[in-house]
Amino acid sequence: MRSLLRPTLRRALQAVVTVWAAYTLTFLLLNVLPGDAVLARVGADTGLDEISPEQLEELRRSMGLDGSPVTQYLDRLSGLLTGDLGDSMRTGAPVATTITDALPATLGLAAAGFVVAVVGAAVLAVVTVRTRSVWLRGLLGSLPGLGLGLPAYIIGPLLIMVFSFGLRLLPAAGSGGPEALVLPAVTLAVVPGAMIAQILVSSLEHALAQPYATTAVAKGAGRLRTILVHCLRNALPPALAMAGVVVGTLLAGSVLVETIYSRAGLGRVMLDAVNNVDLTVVQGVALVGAVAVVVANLAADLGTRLLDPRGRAPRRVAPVVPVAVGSAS
Amino acid sequence: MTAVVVGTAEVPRRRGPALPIRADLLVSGVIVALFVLVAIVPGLFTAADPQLAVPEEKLFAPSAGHPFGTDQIGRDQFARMVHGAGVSLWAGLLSIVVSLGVGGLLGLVAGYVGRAADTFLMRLCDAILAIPGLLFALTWIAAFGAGARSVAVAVGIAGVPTVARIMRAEVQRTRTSVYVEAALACGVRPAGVLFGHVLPNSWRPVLALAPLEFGQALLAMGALGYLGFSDSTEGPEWGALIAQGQTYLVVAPWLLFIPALSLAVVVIAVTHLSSLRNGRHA
Amino acid sequence: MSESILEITDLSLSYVTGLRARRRVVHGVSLTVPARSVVALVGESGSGKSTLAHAIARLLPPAGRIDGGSIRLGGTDLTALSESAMRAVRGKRIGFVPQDPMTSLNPTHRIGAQVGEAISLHERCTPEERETRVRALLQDAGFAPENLDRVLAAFPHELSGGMLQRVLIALAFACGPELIVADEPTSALDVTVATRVLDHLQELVARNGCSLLIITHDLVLAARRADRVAVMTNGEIVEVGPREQVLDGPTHPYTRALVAARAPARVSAEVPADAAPVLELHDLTKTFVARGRGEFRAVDGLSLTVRAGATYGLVGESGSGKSTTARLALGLVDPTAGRVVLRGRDLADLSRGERRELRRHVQVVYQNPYRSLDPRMTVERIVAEPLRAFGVGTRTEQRAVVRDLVDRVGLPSHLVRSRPHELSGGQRQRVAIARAIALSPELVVCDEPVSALDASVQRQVLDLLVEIQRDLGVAYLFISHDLAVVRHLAHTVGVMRGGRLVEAGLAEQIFGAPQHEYTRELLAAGLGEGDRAVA
Repeated sequence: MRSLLRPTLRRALQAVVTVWAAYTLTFLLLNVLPGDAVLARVGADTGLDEISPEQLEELRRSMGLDGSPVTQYLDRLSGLLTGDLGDSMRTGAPVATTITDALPATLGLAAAGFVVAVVGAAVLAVVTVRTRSVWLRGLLGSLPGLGLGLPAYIIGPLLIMVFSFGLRLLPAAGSGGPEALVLPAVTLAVVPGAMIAQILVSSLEHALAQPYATTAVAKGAGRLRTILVHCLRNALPPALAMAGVVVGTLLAGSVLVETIYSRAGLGRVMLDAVNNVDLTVVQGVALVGAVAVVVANLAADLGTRLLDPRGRAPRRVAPVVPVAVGSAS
Repeated sequence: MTAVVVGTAEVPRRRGPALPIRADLLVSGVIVALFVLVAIVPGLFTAADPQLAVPEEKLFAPSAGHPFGTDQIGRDQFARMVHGAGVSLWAGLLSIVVSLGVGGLLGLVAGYVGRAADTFLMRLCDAILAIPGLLFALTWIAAFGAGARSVAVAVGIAGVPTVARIMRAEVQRTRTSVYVEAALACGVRPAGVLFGHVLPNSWRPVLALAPLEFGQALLAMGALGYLGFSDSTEGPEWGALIAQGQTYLVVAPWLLFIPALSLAVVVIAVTHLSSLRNGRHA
Repeated sequence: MSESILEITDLSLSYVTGLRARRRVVHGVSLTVPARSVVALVGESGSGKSTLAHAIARLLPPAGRIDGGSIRLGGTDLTALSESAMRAVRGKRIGFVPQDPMTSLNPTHRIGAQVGEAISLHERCTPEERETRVRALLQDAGFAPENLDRVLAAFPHELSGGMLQRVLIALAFACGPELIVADEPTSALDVTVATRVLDHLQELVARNGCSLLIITHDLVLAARRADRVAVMTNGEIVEVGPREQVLDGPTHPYTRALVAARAPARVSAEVPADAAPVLELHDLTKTFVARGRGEFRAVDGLSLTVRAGATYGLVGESGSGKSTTARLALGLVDPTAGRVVLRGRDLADLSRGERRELRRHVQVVYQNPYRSLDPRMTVERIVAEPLRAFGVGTRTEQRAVVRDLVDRVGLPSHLVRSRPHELSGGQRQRVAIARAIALSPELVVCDEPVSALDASVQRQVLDLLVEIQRDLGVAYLFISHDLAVVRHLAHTVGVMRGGRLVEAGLAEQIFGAPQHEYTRELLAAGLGEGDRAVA
């Protein structure tokens, strides 16, 4: 286990750098490039001619937008380290609070979507690879491709049409209760599930084509056993590598799904902020997204290392186990 | 594929069942061609004005006069979709030009020059990649305003890291290949190696990304259109049409159904075409 | 007449390549393996031998089909069995030893578990019983008892190729099968290791009383180990019979060609003894620093001289440092210590521009014909590249030179417009040679130029190299792991091991009276054996 520590720490450091870089990027985009943020902000609310230069200056100071971009940046950054994401330009409420209030609902939805996606993808992938019939394989194999073309805003409304208004089985909106979670979770799970399924199918087939899979079959193992016992573990790393993308898609999807199903959560917060040019909130939510993606990647990286015994073996032992067969090697 | 089940010379290149795939590709090709045609010359397909509101004819079901029905203020839905296709197409193209152009250049520099430039560019890509696509686009919109063009650029930039990664990997692969070493051993100058060997062998996989990225761009813009951010003078974006349709789901389900399914079909057709490249060249 | 363990009758196999398309790879083949005997199936790559071997245990990929014929294992018709019945045969009645030991074991399972699985799939026993049996199997396969604990707990990447192959052999014998099918069991191993592994395999077969069907491309291996030999080409068995008959008195022309290709050639006669040295390596050392794994000395104090118009054969097994030596000689890599002197000039003294100039006189032919040619270029462009790089002649003149060169290396002229993937391995290597001699260099470094080619093609390429040396007076630094190949054209030979030259001298001396023990070992194992399978 000890040999895992160094690379993991290195990755964790890289992750921190990435989050910082993402933050800097959003800062550049929101505060530096477009020009005067205050003008933009004020312009969104009231007319620009209704406000005097002194009031503008006052507003600027209260929002912390006076001073050069560099001082602003450093101020914000130091605030970040203490968990202060700034205040909403619109309501003045601390962004961190706004986000933490809305986060649980979104997390719950994302988690539900994640579970559905992973389980669905795994089952589909194993069934697809297990079959020996060429036409069935072709049919099942084309499903993930179809899924990728059905994002939340297409399949969501369609599901509502069928299950809520047509069959009257499930609610079309609202945040209450497990029933209200079913359609949103499924809607959310389609695209990430398709991504995972696609990559799992490809890496499982790759693993099945490897010589060690043939050895397993030559020993007398059946196809399902070969897939589950031998190939799955070896096929996971490419799927794990997608963890960041999947988490990102889940988060972005949650924003959409919450809108489609009128659920409370970060989606509402973000959309309101964009419409109101509430830059600090926008920045805060983007940052939360970045942190989630980075953490997911870190976890996946750790998982991949744990799975591969080559990474786990302590380095000090000679790579070759000595075997004395009359000095054979 | 590294199958050594049987000697490498003996196993033929896997192409899967030949006939069904070719029919698939044909259908996809036709769909995409149709989409492009509709987008470029909408006048060919409808004479109706997408902006013309005829309140007396609101929420009509599909009929001879209005093949896709009418919306809540009496506009012809078919005309709206036809003109909206143009928005999607041009925005999509703008998006992939940004992705491939910027991404390709970044990847080339990172892969060929290496070292500091590589580290910096890859960290930049990591930063872009870390922010979930939709959130990134929303951030961009908050900064630069909404509208189809803004959305297209945002989506394009969000796609840069993927392209850059692939270009970088290809450039690194060719840069360290045996035939490049052989060329150097022959006496070819480094510039000659870059333009004569590295680039010609690297750009194809990147170009093969174009259909896939285009499909992704269409989807992303649909999402932003759904959320109400892609207003354009040329016509309503299909995502916006879907959002509208959802509002009137109970009374006029075709307003939702037709745009939703159409977008899905076009995207699936486009992405399916991208598998053409992968299938042929093993 | 003893009963046969395996009777293949009129078997035809094909691959499904499209909805209605099939490609036949084995045509009406019949083969018998008698009880308690060793049969060798010999053929080159593409002959269908591997497909046949896999078909016996029904290990073909999903696209593989049995079109006709039967496979009887001791009375049971295997082709008529259901999949679940076949599962009971695989591992229990037929043991399969696969080709590549480095990839034939699951990298994430321990050795003990993998060998144990071979037992538990067919027989019920307690974990203790199973472990005892696993230990016995591994010991039989050649592992020393004191190492068994470590081997059982080890993962495949911790063992060497030879050890892994022994594990695979142990796997095959796990349930005491009637027949062992070994598909090129040693072509991925070094020659010295391969000999020992094969000895052991034969011993186990004799002790267990089963039969062995060994698939190989090496006729001499077949000669040494088998009772009966069958020769296969283009999906058909063209000759079969007891070993002496097939090898000493072959009837089929293909067999005759195979036998002829292995005959040792006469060593090149003329030795320009006082010719000027083209390449001199003085005390050359190259150390690599691997992150976290410390230093690795690839080349250690190596000195040799290659004279104009002569061939220096540098021989060594994998890991001996010969490839690094090649790159040092070409100036593609800088030495840690020592000097590389080309045409009297020390490479270290030269500027980059001067080094590039030097490339006119030193060229290279690589081992892998599939990777050393740019897949996007035509043959013409590839061969013309050195001419273009140094601006020799106009385009028209260059084209004429290319045509000449292509002719010189024995390729039909219409191939100038082809791309590498349209050519065979041997043809590609000829293109590489044409490119190498385009500037009429004084020295060509040949890094295992024929190792990736079939035996029959190897001979042709070697003859071509000899011819070119005679006509152009070019010197070769010829690097190979195969002494038999080096014999064809070397005047001077150096034997490398662990980065050092253990013995060097004139070819007749090395081959006639080798001094060092390692040289003798290489000669004994290498003579006759040694062509590697295609990477």
